[in-house]
Amino acid sequence: MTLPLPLATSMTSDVPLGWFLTLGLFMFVVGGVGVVVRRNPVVVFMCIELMLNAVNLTFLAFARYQIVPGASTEQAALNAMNGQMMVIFVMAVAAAEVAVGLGIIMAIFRLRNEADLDDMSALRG
Amino acid sequence: MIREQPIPTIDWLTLAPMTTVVVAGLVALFIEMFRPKQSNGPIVTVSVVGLALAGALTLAQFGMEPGPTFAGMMVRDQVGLVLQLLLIGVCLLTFLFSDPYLREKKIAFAEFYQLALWSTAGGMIMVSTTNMLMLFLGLEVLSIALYCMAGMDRKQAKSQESAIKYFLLGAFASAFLLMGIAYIYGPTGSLDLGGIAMIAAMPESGYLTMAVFGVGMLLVGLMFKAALVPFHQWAPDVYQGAPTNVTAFMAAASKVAAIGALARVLSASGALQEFWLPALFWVAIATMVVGNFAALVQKDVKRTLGYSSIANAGYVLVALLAHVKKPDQVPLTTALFFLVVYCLMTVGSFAVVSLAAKGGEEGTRFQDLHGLWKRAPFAVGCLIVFVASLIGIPPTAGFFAKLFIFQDALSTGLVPLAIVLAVTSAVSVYYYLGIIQATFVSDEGARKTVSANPSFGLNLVCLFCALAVLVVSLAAAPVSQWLRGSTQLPGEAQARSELQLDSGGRVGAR
Amino acid sequence: MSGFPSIWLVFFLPLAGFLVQSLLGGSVVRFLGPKFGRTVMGALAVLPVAAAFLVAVDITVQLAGRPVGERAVVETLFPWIQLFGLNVPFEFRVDTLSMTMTLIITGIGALIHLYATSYMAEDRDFPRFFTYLNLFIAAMLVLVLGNNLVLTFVGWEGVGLCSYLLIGFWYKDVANSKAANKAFIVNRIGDWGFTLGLFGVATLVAANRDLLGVTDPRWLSFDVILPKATELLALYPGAATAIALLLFIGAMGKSAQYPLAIWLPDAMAGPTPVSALIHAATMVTSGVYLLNRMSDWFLASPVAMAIVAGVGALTALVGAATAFGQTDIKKVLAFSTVSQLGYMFIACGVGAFYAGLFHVITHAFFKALLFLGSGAVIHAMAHNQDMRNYGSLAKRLPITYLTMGIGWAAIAGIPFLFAGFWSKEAILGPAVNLEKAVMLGPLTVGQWAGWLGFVVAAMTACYMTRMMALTFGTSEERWRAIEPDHGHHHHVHPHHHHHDHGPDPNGFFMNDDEATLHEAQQAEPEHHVLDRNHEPHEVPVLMWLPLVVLAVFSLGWLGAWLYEGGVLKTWLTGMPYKSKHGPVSHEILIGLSFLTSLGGIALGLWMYRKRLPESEGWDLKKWSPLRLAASRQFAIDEVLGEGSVKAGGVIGSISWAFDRYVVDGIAHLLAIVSGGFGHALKWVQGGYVRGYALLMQIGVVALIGYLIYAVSMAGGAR
Repeated sequence: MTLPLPLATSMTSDVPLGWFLTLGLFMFVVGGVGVVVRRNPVVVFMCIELMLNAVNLTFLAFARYQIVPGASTEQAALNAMNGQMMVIFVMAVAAAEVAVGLGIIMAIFRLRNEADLDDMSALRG
Repeated sequence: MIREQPIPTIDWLTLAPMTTVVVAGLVALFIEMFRPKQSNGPIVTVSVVGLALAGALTLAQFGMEPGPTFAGMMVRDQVGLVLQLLLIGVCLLTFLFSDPYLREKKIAFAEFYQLALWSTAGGMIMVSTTNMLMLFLGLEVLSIALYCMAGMDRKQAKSQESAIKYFLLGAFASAFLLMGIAYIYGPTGSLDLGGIAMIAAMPESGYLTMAVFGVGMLLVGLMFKAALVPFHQWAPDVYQGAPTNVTAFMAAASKVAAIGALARVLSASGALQEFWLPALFWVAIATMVVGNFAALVQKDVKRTLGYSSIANAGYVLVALLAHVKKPDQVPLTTALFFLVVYCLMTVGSFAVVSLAAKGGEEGTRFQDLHGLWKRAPFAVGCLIVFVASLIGIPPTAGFFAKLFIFQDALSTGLVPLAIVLAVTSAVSVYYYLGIIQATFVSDEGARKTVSANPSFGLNLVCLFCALAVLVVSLAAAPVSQWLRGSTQLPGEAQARSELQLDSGGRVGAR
Repeated sequence: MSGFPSIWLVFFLPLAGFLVQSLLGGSVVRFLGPKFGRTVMGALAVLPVAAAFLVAVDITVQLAGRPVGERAVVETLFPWIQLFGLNVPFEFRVDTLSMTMTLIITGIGALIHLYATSYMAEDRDFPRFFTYLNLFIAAMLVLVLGNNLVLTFVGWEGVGLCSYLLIGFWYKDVANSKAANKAFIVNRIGDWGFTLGLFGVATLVAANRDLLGVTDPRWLSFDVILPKATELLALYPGAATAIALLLFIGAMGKSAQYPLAIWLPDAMAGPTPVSALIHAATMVTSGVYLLNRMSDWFLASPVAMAIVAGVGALTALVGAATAFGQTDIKKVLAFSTVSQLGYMFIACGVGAFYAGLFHVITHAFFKALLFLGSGAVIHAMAHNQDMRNYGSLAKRLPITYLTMGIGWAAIAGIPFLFAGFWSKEAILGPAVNLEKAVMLGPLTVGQWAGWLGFVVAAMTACYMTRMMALTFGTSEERWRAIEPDHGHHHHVHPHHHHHDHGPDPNGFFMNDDEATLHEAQQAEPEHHVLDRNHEPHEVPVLMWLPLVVLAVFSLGWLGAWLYEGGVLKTWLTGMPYKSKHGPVSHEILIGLSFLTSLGGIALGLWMYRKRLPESEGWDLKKWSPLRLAASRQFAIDEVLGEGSVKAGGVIGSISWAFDRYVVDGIAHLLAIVSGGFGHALKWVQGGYVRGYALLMQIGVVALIGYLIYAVSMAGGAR
């Protein structure tokens, strides 16, 4: 336990929490970069989904590896449920966002027969 | 093993206003389902009745014992109730002038009312919870409805553009918000904002780093919603592109909800302010400066008002920072007062701007307003009151709103913020007066500008907002006193007391 | 000690009347037809004021029933301004002074409202008139009832606004609009003084709160500052003089003291009920009210007191002298009002504040009476105001003649029988006996003022006799000489040109062309014009009834009761009345009063007994130089008006140059820099979603980077 972060080793697994968190942050950054470099709204939205999944991974990792100091086992189990519940809600909301997002993209397609984000810059200044 | 948990006591009244608003939306949806493409009259009626009922239910809760319910998922307190009432009022005012506008603009989209109602409900949830899950859900309910509403003019490329911009950037910001929640959840195991305060007392710096990272990311998500620099860029574009009634609603409601949530987060993380306060200090300065200076060179009224709303977010952030810095000395009242006044002036001015739509056409550039004075003298008269208030000219409420913030900033040692506030307010006079000037310029010789005749509802909105701006100013002291009710966010008090209680190490969900 | 919550009724009734008149007036008149509609709206205008009067009477009676020490109650409606430890509530002060003023305002106000319903019955803008009039009553009540200087100022500006609106009521005539402008602009100078005085008081009290032990956050309220005033001002004699003089400048503006008196004669352009209510009975006395209210602040400075008395005496003299040269009946009364206001300030200047208020009361009755009487005459004479066209009206307007006669006797100061004598006595007695004060040669300033007051009393009796004689006396009916020809009408009124104020770049006053236009409008065909076919008739009952009531109150019983019985002094000051025995005894004073009033009247009667004397003829060139000068107001108006406009022009050019080259230069530079900055921001806002996302990410990196840095620094410290 000499890591800079107090990354508790797993109760059940050999993969330490830090790896999950690092992977989550990595995915998050990849998604963020994707948002900036891609021009197709669908792909951009996929990048955002990647970021949301990074969040989900982080939540699940935290839920699995309870690092709350001094929490009883019972408390830890309850805490774990908090994180898992959050993940379910994030997925549900993401699904709703997909529906709305695709609707908007469809409407744009109908209007101008293509959907390049860089072409949609009439509003500026 | 998980021991069986007792079912928490539930105070249904706390939830009643949001439920009423949601149900009103559902009923309105059914009406639209059974008599599609017909007059919006019944829908508006149901919506207005639902909102009035929700408003009454909110009012009934004033003075009741504050506290959390639903196992801490929702909370009833003065701040939440005031902001809920404000959101309901904003929605109501928007509805009053929406129907004629939608008809003039030929937007056959009756779902506007349902979406606005649900959006309002989302905002109401946001401002009356200290739970980050509920905060996220409220935010998304508010936002997703707004994405649809921004793009509801399907024939207009600008409306579509604003919708996709708002949607993508909004979802993007949500990802940051969620990441923040995750990193607060990690070390505390709790989704309650009260958890943040506990971390400050933790010995291990790794936890602190995680929590500060989490708070930072969470703030990014909320600052995006409140349109604070540098997360503001969506605002002018979306305000300009969206239909004007949606802009009015968005500018007022989403700002109120975001600021309300921001107030709770900042108050709850008051123990960590040594880290984030300097950062937000610069955010406030940047917001006031960018909002006001960018507005100087605009040619579109809606866009100008969009930048103005960014600037106003900067002002209210000053109030929040002053409150967080010395919560015992500076109550949150200043921010609430500002929000109330801000909503009145914003909805009022956008209502007047919505006159620019006629027969499917809409021009919102400054020159499109030329001659409006002649065609709608009453509305322009009210617009003068709103603009005077936005500038902060004494007989209007805007003056007191800014003055209180100025006073708070000075008394908490945030002197540079007070100075920037004063200077940028002076700068803002230029573009605000430009709006008034445009309405008085003669439209002779120019192309025949279009503008609708003000409807009864619109006149009513103008009259109400203008009168309220004047009355609130006349009664600034009693209004603040009423807003004050309880001077502290309960989250704060709880967090503090918990901090002492938990020195034994029992940290966990409540 | 219970309060008087019903005082709010006194205020809100006229305010409600104002709202009813303004919001419903036009519709009601349109709906019910002009005749019945105006009757209804007239009743709705009179009733609130009359009801307010009754409530005020009730409060006053209750107040009088209390012991002397408990005759001041503060009623708070709501907290109004709360700033930096200052609390200015919306609060009224019910005490003897404010209730005395309230009774005058609502009582005489109700009578004049009643009179006006008849006087204005033919006017198309009937509801607008009563909108302003009711608003005036409400504002005036705020002025006298407000328990802090801020509220007093609100009322002060409110009555100024109403005065402006009512002077310019017949706004289609450009002369009226310009008279309204003049009143407003001249009053601005007074308001400047008032505001600075207010700030001075606030600063002084704020700086010495700890010293005085003022813990109440309402430290601008009268009940907090007045008891401490003497103590405070003893520490700052210079500041006391400065504040007193600044407040006096405010009073000079509103109460028409020279040199700020030049607006009041022009204010006669408003309808006559307005002249009676606002420019004679109530608003112009608010300066005297202010001095009474702040009397401790004035008493602390002998210099300021001397200046007040001196200005008052000068005003009394100049006003009376000018009245001799006037041919317009309302102008005579206007200058007489200026002169009488001068008396009130003499009283204040010699420390007899209650005597000043006493004269406010009696003057309110007899001057309102005279104005309403003149209104009746004007009404009967087809709105012609030139006394040279009157004559022999006594038998045609008997009631007006008799009531105005009482008013005349009152202002002339006929001893014992009429009210004016008593109040003049109350002022001049203390004045000529004033000993310890600023000296000017052998006498004190107050004594000078007092002796001058006796001279003015004789002059007053004389010019008022002139007015009565020209209007009612003699047997010749001079309007019979007017041919029914509009052109002739112009030639016989060269005096109408006295509005010519010379060069007037800002257009505040009327030039020759406008004056001609003005006269042309006066001679509009539908306007009934005075010519030899005219037959004057007594005015309707609604107009003479108020005259009779006011006449009853102008009789001597009121003065005798209030003064000789010592009622008023005890009521206002809480101290028992005691006849003072100075070097000039009571008997000498009464003898002098006999001499001045009866002598003045005798002189007037001797001059005007038979017919229009040669010297009062149509041709101004034949007038004696002195009278001609008086008719031109001794050029005071011209010199001040023209001089200030010219001086303003010079200052204006200098500041224009400064503004053009220095201020504009800086402003343009700032504008260029701001605009450039704005354009730079515009460039950042490129319209690309990706760009926005990038900026957000930069923001996130900066924020998170800073936070992590801050945490690691703090972590190192832990």
